[in-house]
Amino acid sequence: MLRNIVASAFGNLALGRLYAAVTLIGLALALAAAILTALFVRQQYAYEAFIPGHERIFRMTGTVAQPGQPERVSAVTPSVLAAALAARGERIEAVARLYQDDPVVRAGAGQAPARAEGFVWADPAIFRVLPLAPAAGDLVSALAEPGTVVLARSAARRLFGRDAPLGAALDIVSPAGATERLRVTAVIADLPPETHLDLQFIASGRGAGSPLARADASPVPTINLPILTYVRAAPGTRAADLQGPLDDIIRPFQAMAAASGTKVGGYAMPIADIHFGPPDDSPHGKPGVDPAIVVAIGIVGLLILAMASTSYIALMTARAGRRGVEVAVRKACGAGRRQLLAQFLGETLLVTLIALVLAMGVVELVLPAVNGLLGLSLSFDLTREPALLLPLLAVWLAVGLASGFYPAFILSSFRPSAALGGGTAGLAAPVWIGRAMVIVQFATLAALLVAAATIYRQTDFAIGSALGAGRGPVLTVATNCRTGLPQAMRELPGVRSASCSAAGAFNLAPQGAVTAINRDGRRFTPGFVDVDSHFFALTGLKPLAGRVFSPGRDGEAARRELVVNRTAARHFGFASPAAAIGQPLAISLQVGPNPPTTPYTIVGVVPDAAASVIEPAGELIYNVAPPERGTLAIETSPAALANVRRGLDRLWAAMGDGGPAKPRLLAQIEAERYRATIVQGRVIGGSAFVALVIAAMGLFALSAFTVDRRTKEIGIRRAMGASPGAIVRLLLWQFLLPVIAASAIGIGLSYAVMAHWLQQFASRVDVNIWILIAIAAGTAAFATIVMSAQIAAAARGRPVDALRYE
Amino acid sequence: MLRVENISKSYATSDVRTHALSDVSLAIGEGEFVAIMGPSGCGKSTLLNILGLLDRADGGRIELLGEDVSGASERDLTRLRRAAIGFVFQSFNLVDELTVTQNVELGLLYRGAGASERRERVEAALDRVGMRHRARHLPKQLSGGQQQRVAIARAIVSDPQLILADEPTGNLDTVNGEAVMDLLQQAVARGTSVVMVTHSLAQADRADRKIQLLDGRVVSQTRLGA
Repeated sequence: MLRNIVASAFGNLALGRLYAAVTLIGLALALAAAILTALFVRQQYAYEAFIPGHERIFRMTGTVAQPGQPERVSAVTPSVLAAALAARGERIEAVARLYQDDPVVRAGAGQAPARAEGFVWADPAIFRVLPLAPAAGDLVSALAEPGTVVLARSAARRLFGRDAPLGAALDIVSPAGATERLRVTAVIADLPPETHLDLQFIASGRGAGSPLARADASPVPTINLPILTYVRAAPGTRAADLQGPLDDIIRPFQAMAAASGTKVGGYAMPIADIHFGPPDDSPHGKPGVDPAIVVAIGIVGLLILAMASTSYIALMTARAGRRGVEVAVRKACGAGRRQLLAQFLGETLLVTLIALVLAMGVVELVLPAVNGLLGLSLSFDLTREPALLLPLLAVWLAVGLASGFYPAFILSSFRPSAALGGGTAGLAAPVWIGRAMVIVQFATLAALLVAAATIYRQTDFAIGSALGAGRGPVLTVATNCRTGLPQAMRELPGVRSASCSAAGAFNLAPQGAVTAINRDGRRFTPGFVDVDSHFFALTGLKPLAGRVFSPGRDGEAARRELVVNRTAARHFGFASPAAAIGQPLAISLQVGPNPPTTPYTIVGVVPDAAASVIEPAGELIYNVAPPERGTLAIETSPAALANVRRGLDRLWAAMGDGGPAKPRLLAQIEAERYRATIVQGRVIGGSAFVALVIAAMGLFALSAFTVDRRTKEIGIRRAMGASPGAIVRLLLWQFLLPVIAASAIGIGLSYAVMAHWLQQFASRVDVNIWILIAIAAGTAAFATIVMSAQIAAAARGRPVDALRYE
Repeated sequence: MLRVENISKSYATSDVRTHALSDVSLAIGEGEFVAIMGPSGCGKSTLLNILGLLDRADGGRIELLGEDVSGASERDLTRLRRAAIGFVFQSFNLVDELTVTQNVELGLLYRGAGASERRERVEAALDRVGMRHRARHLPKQLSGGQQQRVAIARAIVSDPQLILADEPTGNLDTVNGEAVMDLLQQAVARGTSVVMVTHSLAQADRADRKIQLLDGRVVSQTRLGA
């Protein structure tokens, strides 16, 4: 029987090559797209799963809600939180902190220094909290001694040229040229991409040079440092179980914040949720991913499968009449309905299997390009992951059975007497099947096009809204702002302006927070950034009232001037930006009931420059003081960019922090900020392309079959006086009507979904009605183009030929 | 072995009801060769389909091998067809995608015959029709006469008690038509009953009995060679 099924399936494929090609290519493309989307979804849900016991590891998360502002979530925690948790949490097995840093390091004397990306200072217990895989050395004791460091294997290879440089020296080089020597005590395996952790260098927090140790030695709790607190809890512990101890610790801070109307809070976030959590504001943080979009992409994969499946059903059912005699013969030979069902289902399963094998080949071929385009590291290796065969088997069976059952049902129900009698009664497939295929396919296509267009426009808007967008290329490099480098860069030919300010001022890092007290004695906790006097010229932030800092002004009075953003001015109680000018503001860098303050004067109010379109702008104060560790931003022109880069490299060698400068374009950084959205847009866009191909092939084949079936009718109509144009209109309309209806359905559904999706952005575009109309018109025009050639050819043919056609 | 009593069949559209068969009664004996004749549209093919259990009569009684099948389920009809009936069609109706061997073994497959039994029976059937040398060919590689010989091999491969042939020589030239008639007569000689619809008087004269249909009714029955 199997041989019979195989022979029949291949025979049918060979007899109708056009339909076979459409069927196989459509199914293979859809299966390939589904495999790719499934790999993407699987990767998104695999975050942190490589860490043993990840389900009971939590990262402490803070929340701050300023008056009239939405709640902000922060991964950065006070330095004292870890010790307090360790003392109070009965269910806590271990607590450890990471201090994210980016120092310049050198692999021993005489080696070239380089900025260490992925550098953290950690409490020695970090490997009890995060039991990462060791590659060399003993992780339990690796950080117990001050001056020790654990490397990731790739960092070890890069710096020392070997996998296990235990005992080797790693020097941290300060901007002033001083060095602090660390000893390599262990090496960990490189972390997979599916993690929020960025760990290349893990230095012991116990050393005197460690900022963790300095924070612990501070008499007042620090809240501005990039410290992350991790907890490993007892088995079975849920996040809610840690809330009680956490609330006890936060309560004093809540009381202090309440004085300024600010609500602060905190909770324990399972590390597996970080990937889908709010944007990570820590210096090494990665953008959060909206799980709804990941689920939506999974659904898109299923929709594409449904498109191909519907196409198969429609084509097989439309062609079913051609197999009427075969069905009759098989029945005459004794085939029962069940046997015919098995026969035709078997054929579909075979075709689906061939398509699946083709799809797997397609995935192998395109995966590197997909990874490159989306910046992902998806893998599809059956030799390393033979368990993938199980879901593939399930997909094969599901698609094969879903696609094959209805045609098999129709075919096996044919009355043999009708086929053998030469008539067609009882052999006609329902017309609605073809229309249903067109509706499903074009509704999906239109919906995906609307989604892709909306995501693209929102991303474009987001990047275009960034600080400094619309100006010339802006190069940025982290450096010490108190050297001669910024001025030297300003004097370089081709440089329009240069500013060395806190990274937070350029929205490249979190903004430090301070306590601000207005003239009425009300307390606030606004963001506070140090900028130089060139900052506003470079960013194009023009004052709404007053003035901004100007180069040349110096002295104590100038150092007591502040520029605030519009939100801060409003929250501080000023009726207008102008009303804030000349008003006093007391600032304290510490928190506490009565922190020591320094008097300042507001000299200017500038527009808000939100860090991203995701959250509204918060209160922000600009202070004129070039920071020791800041970001040098250099605006140039596209034509001068290459020369400026070379000039920066030359000056950097003389005045920089050591190692190569590695400047990055601000636009690139902004694109990375929205990388998750860009990836989602590209996945949806790619899916729309696959949907376009499948819809085109399905419609082409169905219209070809319809023209073929109606050739004699065309001849009769022509003989009765119909013009070719009238025939074309008749046939086109038959398909265009469901295409138009499908577009309306798809666009309507997608409009509702995307309008909801846009709500997550504080600043957003509208779903443009003209784009919806263009998509509707475009799909109709596309369908017309797909069908018109064959319909026109049939309509222009000689009626006598059509009348002879059988 | 086959008896029908007062069967009728009509086809209806929304406006018109057409009576294809009216009150037809006849009996086919074991090893009997019966020819059914009549003008186009007189109901010959409808009668053949009902005799072959491919279609149901609207009324009347049908008895096959002593079993009343008038109200039998589709499953029982399939079982009986599989066990007792072979078909030969005017347009051969070989499955284009299958080889000669695969076409001939179709009925055996549905009967659940094992591979070795199928091979033996197919070879024997192809030997009987002189087509064994074409066993691996596809239908499109055969002439019309060869295709009909394969169709006869397919009809006889299960040793049915009844072969129904619907104008089996209608698409063949004289030489091939005679060859097909010889094969049908050989089947009769082995004890198989054959009911053949034909327009050819010469071929009808080779049957044992000739039944004349007109407007869905049996108008005459003539026993030949008596």
